[in-house]
Parts: sequence; structure tokens; C-alpha cells
Amino acid sequence: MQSADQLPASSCIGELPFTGPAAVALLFCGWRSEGLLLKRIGFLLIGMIALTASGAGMTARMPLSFAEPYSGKKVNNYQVTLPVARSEKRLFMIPEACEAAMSSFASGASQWGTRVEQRMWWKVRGDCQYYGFLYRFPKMPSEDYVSSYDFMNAYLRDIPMGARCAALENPASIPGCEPFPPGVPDLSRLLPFVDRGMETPRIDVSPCQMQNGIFRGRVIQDKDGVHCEADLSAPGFRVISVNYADVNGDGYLDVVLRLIPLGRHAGRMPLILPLTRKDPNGVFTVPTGTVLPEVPGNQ
Amino acid sequence: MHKLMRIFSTHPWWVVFVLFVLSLLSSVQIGNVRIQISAEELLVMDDPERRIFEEMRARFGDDELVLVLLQDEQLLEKEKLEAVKLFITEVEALPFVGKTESLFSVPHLKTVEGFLDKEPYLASVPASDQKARELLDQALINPFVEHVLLSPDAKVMVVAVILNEQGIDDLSVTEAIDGHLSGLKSQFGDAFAIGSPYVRTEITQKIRQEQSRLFPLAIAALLIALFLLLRQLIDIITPILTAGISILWTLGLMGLLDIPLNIVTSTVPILLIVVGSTEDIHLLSEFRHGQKDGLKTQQALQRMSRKMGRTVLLTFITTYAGFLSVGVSRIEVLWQFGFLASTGLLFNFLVTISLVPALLSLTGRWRLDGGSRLFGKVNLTLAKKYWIWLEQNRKKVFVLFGLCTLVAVAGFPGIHVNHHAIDSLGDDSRARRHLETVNEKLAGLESFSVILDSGIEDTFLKVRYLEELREIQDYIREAGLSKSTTSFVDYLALLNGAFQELENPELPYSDDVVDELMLFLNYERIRAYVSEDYSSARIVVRHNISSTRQLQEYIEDLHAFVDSNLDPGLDVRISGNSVLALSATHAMISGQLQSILLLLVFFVIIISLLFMDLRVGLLASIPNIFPVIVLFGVMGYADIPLNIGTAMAAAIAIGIAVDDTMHFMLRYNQEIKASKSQSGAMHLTIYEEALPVVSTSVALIAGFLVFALSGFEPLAQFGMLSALVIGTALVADFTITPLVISTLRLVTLWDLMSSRLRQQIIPRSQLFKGMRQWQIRKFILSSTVLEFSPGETVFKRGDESEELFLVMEGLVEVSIPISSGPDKTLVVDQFGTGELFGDVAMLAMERRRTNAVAIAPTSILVLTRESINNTTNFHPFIASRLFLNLATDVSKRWVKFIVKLRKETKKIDREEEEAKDAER
Repeated sequence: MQSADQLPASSCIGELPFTGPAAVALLFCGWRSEGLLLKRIGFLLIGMIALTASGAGMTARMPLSFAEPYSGKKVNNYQVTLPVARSEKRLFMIPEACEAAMSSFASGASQWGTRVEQRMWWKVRGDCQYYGFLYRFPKMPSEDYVSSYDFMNAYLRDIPMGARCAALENPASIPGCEPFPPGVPDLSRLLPFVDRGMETPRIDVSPCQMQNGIFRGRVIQDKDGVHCEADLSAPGFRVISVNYADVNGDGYLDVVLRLIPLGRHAGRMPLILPLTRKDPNGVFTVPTGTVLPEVPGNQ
Repeated sequence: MHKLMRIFSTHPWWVVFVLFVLSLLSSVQIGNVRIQISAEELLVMDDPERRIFEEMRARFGDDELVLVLLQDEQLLEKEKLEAVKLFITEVEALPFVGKTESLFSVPHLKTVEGFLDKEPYLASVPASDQKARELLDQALINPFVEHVLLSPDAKVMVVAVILNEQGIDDLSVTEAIDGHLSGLKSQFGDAFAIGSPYVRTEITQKIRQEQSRLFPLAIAALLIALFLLLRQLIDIITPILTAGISILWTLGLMGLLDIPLNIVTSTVPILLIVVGSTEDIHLLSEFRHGQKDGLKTQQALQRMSRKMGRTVLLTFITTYAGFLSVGVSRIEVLWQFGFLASTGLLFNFLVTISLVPALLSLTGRWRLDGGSRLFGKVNLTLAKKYWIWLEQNRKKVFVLFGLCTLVAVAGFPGIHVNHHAIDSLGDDSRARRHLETVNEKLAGLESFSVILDSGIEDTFLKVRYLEELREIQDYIREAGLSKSTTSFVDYLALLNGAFQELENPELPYSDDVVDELMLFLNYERIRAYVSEDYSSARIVVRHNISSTRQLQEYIEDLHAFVDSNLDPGLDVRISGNSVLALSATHAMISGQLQSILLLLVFFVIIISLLFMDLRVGLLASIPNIFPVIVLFGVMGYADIPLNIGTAMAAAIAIGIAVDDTMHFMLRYNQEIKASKSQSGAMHLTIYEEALPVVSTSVALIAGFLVFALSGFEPLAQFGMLSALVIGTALVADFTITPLVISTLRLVTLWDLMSSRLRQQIIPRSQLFKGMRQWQIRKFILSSTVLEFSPGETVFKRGDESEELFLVMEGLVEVSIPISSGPDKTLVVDQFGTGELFGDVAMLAMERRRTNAVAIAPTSILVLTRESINNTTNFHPFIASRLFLNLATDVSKRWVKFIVKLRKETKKIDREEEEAKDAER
């Protein structure tokens, strides 16, 4: 397996876009590259130019969080060696080398390697798509009504609960039961659904709230409509990252939640839930015209 | 052999010179002898199980480790943890240490802010007692920690030091670890390190101690025994000298062939001291007998060579076979022992037959004392009285031995097997105590593995097959076989539990989830449990079962469960050190039985060939089977296990014990030819053999009892049991052996082979006319050959007529006493080579009416009425030919007698006529 230290310096240029982290990586590559001092200085200069260019007219990109392959720890970027042909492997720095990675993926690289490596290709693809989704519109948005909200301790009533309301006669008229655009995850599907019927007396109408990004509980449907009930022993979900970007280019800052389901039968691929609002006290909705990346579980 | 010994006795200085040169050459190699203790030596060579084990090690790895056990009521106090952390840092810096595993390194799999956190349990010191308690509780959920690195009561913590493959020197390892450990001893209630390097180091140290302690003791025991029994300075020094030279040569051979000293081979020098002395004692005893009978040195040496040469050769062969038969075992250490000990004995034999005659030739006349004291008063009369008493109580003796045999056999079911390297060490062993603590507080240091192999890539990434692994683990836990089993499933369950933020580890429910989890799993963490292509998986079962039988039952049970419950597509094997030890146990038991059987068969064949009668061989084995039965009975009753030491006891001790039987039988054979009376021959045999047999047995018992002082339990048991066998064989040799062999008429093969005359005369004799060679031989084997000097009476008038005689060489005169004077006789006839006499009275069943006297040195074949009757009963064809020949011979003699009578009558008539003529 090839490590970063063993990479030829030329591979740095081939894979890294002109972004802030990429520029830092170029500086690193130049410093670690083998050969003449002149060559090293050349790389350092290119890195510094790239670093300067990355800040001009671009969105101030906040670092993203990824789960590092094999260790699982939270990182802003990671290296991964993946097969690109029957007997060829390449090291990719994600998200900096996402373009190269996606290009390899598109050319069928994910068919090579072991089952775990094939699966790893899908993780890289998911991470890169998320990265691309966030920074599709580099222009800085002018309106921000989302960043003041504490999404790690959000009330579920503020977050759309989606298609769980499909059983109702006129779901679209009930708050929280508006249909989601395609690919947007329905959080209520991650929670057990309890149908108490219209006659069932209301038990608890207190609002459910996430605690440090976690909510465990169940969705209840009764005469008061759809609401939820917190229960630490029940399945749920966890917000693993909260990122801000204008994902649909409408000039309003959006929030993008990455969530993972919790519970015995839950998968581990993070789900992406973009939300926005256009006034400080409005409800959060899915930004219009959002084209979500194809993430398993996001539907 | 006789001629060879004569040559040595006539060229003593040459013998001394050659032995000196060879000893000098051997001493050069002694420096190359090394002490090496390894678990592999206790295993079976070329064992298919071992191949499986090696494959498993290659696939999953199996590093050697040392456990550092720390015991305290408050394990997680800050000062203690800092001391442990320092210890780990220091130990990991040691060149032979690969890594350490402890709560400081084992990942505590959990989710922090939605991301996996693999920080070790003790990444930081717990802030409070409550936090410490919580941390220990969480650690105990982890199957890789509970019973492995932490005791369930959280009072014992372990740091596992994993050693590098290269350059591991046990002493350096233990000293270095102990050096760093000393800092922890003051912090914890108890702190020690244990592992294979510690066990091996202790065994190595003990071997050194044993060699320096037991070797002088063995020599002292032998000297005391020899001094008490022989009281001749030369006789005391000689066995020590021959043993010393053979030990030197054996050690030289070990150095040359790179055979190390280990628990078993380290006993060879002491055994050579003990066993090697026996032949010397027999030779010396015979020499002193000769001197006592008034022979000069060279004459006594000649007699010693003649009488003892072949006996010493035969007894060497049986003892050699006894030691060599231990090598039949497929266990490496026993094979090494069998080879070394038997070769050492061969050296001892060569040194003995050359040095003893040479030394006696030079110093034999130095009689520094009057002879043996202890048996000085054992005279012929006492031997005779003893034999008479024994004969009178024949039935009682047999009944007593029969009862003893039954009681011993009843003890057989109590025999059990124990093949644990740690049991080599005594109860006072530090390593053993530490190991017992590990076994008590944790899951134990022993382990075996269950290997599941599908041969298909990614099999163990599927929940269906992971559940198969889990099923086996559940079965093992429920059966109570082990406190700790770990597998890939456990790690995956921990990972899944952490990801799903579950309270307890849980196996993923779908293959998809497994695949997702695999993205966050470092293969190096699980390479001990699953192959890189996930086609095979391993369950490590740690246990503290010391009983081989119990372990055997558990493993058989596990095999049965696996065979009946698991997917038939999976190839399941159970391997590991414990399984190899079980395999070695089987090899040891079968090797033990093979050794004993081989030896007894060998002995029966030798004796049968020697005496040309299978019955003799079978009967002679009785006194030697008896001690084996007693040995196993005592093992059963005294709860002495069959182990690496006791497995050797029976074969070795029997190999030695048969020597005495052999000496007894060969002596009896010599005596019966000389004394012409079975009873006389027997008490002469007892008289002649009492000193050497008792001396050698006492010396052997004393020597073997030295082993009883060994710190190695199997060796101590080996010593005690061997002494028991020698003692029992001694009793049997003076009771069962005389009673058994007195019922047989012994004609040795040598008797037949050495007399070419008999080969030529017998077939031409009228008695055997028309018989085939094998029929003649069969008949002769039921007869006895007696030697007569000129003038010696063969029979006299009035004797019972129980035999007929065939002159093989010489001349016998048969005469009738006449009434005219006491010394006057009428010569009836003279019988020369090939002629038969004494048959008429025997067939007529009347007492002898004639006297028969040898008139030249004569050798006579004696056929008893009993043997003729037996031939009539069992071999009618031979009998019919025999009686026809007898009738022909009697008729011929009758015709001859009538012719002679007629001549005599004519002569008398003529004399009477001449007398009448004279009167006229």
C-alpha cells in the first residue's frame, strides 16, 4: 500500500484542486518531495500561489467533518488508497482530490479490489458528493436566517417530519406533513411510528428536542395530529455535522445537517438534510430546487 | 565376546590409551552442549495436528507473550496508573518487545459527537473513583478485556507484553521485564510477570541446579551401595570410572549432533551412572568369585570372560532395547532421550567390556579388603534352605503373587494422563504459583483455537456465517469450558454497538451493515481472528483446564457439536497448543504401551531363541510383567499421572530388570549342566547370583531414588516408580523366576550350536534314524545334556530307571556287580559315540540292575520317561518312529548279546571240555 510519504510529487498536482486545504497539501507535498532543492522551492511557490488564489471571491469554506476510513475518527480530510485497476492502487486525499476520485469512480474503478475496498469507493463517492453539494455555489449568500439556530439541540417541531403523514386525509394542510422533494430524508422514518387512532387521548404534547445532536423516541399519531415522544431506549438519529452553505444558489444561507440513524437495525451511511428559512421566526423547510446527491437512505 | 574380553585383559595399556584418546576427543565437543527448553520438544514430531497448527500460526499469527499481572483493591489510583504507564513505556522500548496490550492500549470503542472514538480505556486517568468504577464496568463489557486483561472483580489488571520473533533470549527477557517491574511492586498488592519465557527460564535454572545437586548424589548413592556390598576399592571405583567415561562420550555426542540438554535428556548422565554400573558389578563379582576359589588374576579373568561374556552382551542388548524403545515415542524429547540414553549405554557397554578386564588385569591382585561383607555370610546352605522353602511354598507364593497382581490391576482405572509443561515444576515453583494465579483470576494462559474455513472469499463478512461463529462461542461458554472466547464477531459486535450507541455489543443484523462497519475497522486489529480475504475465521478459546482428560472430553464434545450443528460447507478444525498437547498425550500413551510391548516381545524372542523354546521365553517374561502391573497399579492408587517422566519408567525399568532374569537363567543353565540336579543347580544359582543381582538392584534403587529428590515432578515420579519396578523385579527374580524356570529343562542354543559333534552324531544315531531334522531337534529340546568325567557314575544298580542315555561323545561301560566280591563286576558292554543305553530298564519300568560309569570324558544326552511320554501324546508320528528305532536298537543289542552269550557259552563249553580232558 502506498502512503502519502511515498507518493511522487507530481501526483500532488494531478489530484488537488485550487482550494485552501489543497494549497496547504501542495505546500506539504513540496516540502516532503524528493529531489533537488530547486524542485522543492518550486512546489512551495506553487502552493503559496494556490493558497492566495483560493481565498479570492470564493465562499469562506468552513472545514467539513468526515469519518476517517478504518479509524472512524472525525477528520477534516483523509487519505485513502483505493484500487483503480486490477493491479493498480492510488492514494487519494479527500476532499481535495475528489475530482480525481470521482473520475476514477466514473471509469469503473469501484469494481476492483475486495468487498471492503469496493464499499470504500462508495464512501469516498458519498463524501465527495457531499463536498460538491455544499460548495456548488461559491458565491457568498447575502441573507442568513439559519446560523443563529442551535441545530444540535433543535426541537423536532422545527424540522419537517415528511411523509409519515401520508396516512392522513390531507397531509399537505397539516404543518410538518408537507411532502419532501425527492432524495430528502424523512427523519420520521428513522423513528418508530405509533398509530393511536383519533380516539386515543393525548399523552404528552411536550415538544421533542434533540440533546447534543441526538434524538431517540417515537412518532405518534393521534387526534392532535403527528407529534413525537422522547425515549432514550428507542431508535433515533444523531446529527454528526451542521454545515452552512447556499445549496440552491438563491442567496439565502442554508443549513445542511448530516445525520446517522441510531438503533439496532440502522445503517451507517450519513443522510443529508438541507434546511432553510427566509425570515428569522419562520419554519424550516427544504430549500426549493435542491438537488441532493444520491445518498443511500436519502429518499 | 569371551575372546574380545581376553584380548582387552592381555593388552590393558592399549585399552587405557584408546579410551583416553577418545575421551579427549569427546571433551572437545562438550563446550557445544547447550540447554534448550521449548514447548515444541514436548510435542509429537511429524504430527498432522502440528501442520494444521503451523498453518494457523502463519495465517493468524501467534506471538509469544508475557503477562504482567497487577493485583490491588484500587487498581485505578492515579499514582498506580502513572507507574504502570511508565512501566509500559520502558518495556515497549526494550528491543525484544513488539508491543503491549493493556487498558492503556485496547480501544474503548464508542461514539463521540457521532464519530467513532477508539481511544484506549485508560487514555486518561479517571478523574474520580466513580469514573474509575464506570470505566472498569465498561471495560468488562469488552470480551477482549474481561478475563483477559481485567478480572471480573476488577482487582487484577494485566499488561500483555508481546515479544518479537527474533533474538529472544529467555533470561534477558525475564531479567529486563523483572527489572522494570520492580518499580510496580511497591505500588500494587501483588505484581509479577509470567509466560513461556519465565517457565523456560525456571526450568533451565532448575536443570542447572539439578545437575549440580543430583549428579553428586547419584555418585554418592552408587558409592555407598557399592561400598556396603562389595567393599573393594577397585570394584567401587571401576563402575564410577566406566560411567564417567561413557557420560563424557555421550555429552560429546550431544555437542556434535547439537542435541540440547532439556528436562528429559538432562537425566541421561545420572541414568548412565546408575544403570551403567550394573554390568561392571556382575563382571567384578564373577572375577572376585574366581579369586575366592583360588584362581590367579589371569585365570579369574579368563573365567569371568568365559562365564559372563555372553551374559553381559545379552543383558546389554535388553537394557539397550529398553532405552531405545523410549525413542519409539513420536514425542521429540522422548526420541532424543531414547537415542541418547541407548547410545550412552552402548558407550558404557564398550567401556565396561574393555576397561574392566584391562583394569582388573592391572590391579586385580590388589585385594584391599577381604571381600564383600553384606553377603559374605550368604553361603550355599542358606541358598539351599531358601530354595527348599520356596519349593515347598510354591503354591502359596504363586497365590500371593496372583493376589498382588489382581489388586494392582484393580488400580488401573485410576491412571490418568497429565502432559503439562508447567507440571515439570514442583509445587514450590514460582512460575507455577504465578500461573495458577492467572488461571484463578483470569481465563488462563492456555488456549486453543477453533478454525472455520469456507475456502470462499468474504464468507465471514456475511451475518449468516458470523452467526455460526457466535453459535460455537455460545456453546463453549454454556458448556463451561472457557471463561473467555474471542473472535471477529466480538470485535464487529463492539464496533456495531459503538456505532449504534447501544448499551452492549451486538452483532449487526445485515450484511450491508457489516460492510459499512468494515470501513471503520483496521484489519491489523483483527488479523488474529480472520484471514485477509475473510474466507476463514478463528475463535480463540482461553482456558485454565489442567486435566488432560477433562480437556479431551471438552474438545471431543465440541467436535460433536460442530459436526452436528454447523453448516457442512464450513471446514472446522480445532488446533492450538492445548490440542497439540493432547495429541502428544495420545502419542505418549501409545508410545508407552508400544515400548513395553516391544521390549517384552524382544525379551521373549531372545530368551526363546536362546533356549529354543517359546514356552521358556513366555514363562521368563512373567517375573518382568509383574513389576509393570504393580507399577501401573501404584500409579492408579497413588494418583500419579502418566506424564513425560513416568511414561519412561516402565520401559526403562523393565529394560534393566530383565537383565537380572537373564543372568539368573543363564547361570541356572550353566549350573544345571555341571550339577546334573535341578535342585542343586537352583540353589547354586541363587547362591551365585544373590550378590550381583542384589548389589545391582540396590545400586539401581539407590540411584533411581536420587531422582525422587528432583524439583521436576515428573522426574521425581520417574525416579520413585523406577525404584519400585527394580525392587519388585528383584523380589520376583528371587521368587517367581526360580519357581518358573525350575519347571523347565533349559538347553541353550549355544549348547546346540557349540557342539558340532552332536550335529554329526545325533542324525546318525539309531535312536533318530529316519527322523527329519526338525523332529530330532524337537525331541532334543526336551532332553538335557550332562557332562561326565572319567570314573564318574552315570547310574548305579538300584537307581530308579527314569531316563535313557545317548552317548554324544566319550565312552561308558555298563557292568553287573557279581557276588564274589564287592568290587567285582561283569562288564556287560561298552557304549561309544552315538550308542544308546539304559533303555531296557526304563522301558521295563524296573530299577537299574547294572552300573554305568564313564571311562573317558563323556557327554550324554538324557531323555526322560516324561519327555518320551509327552512325545507319544503330542507327536505320535515322532513317537512311532522313536519306538521303532528303540525296538530295532534293543533287538540289535539282544542279537549282539546272544551272539556274545553264545561265544561265552562255547568258550565255557570249550574250557569245561579242556578241563575234563586235563582230568582225563
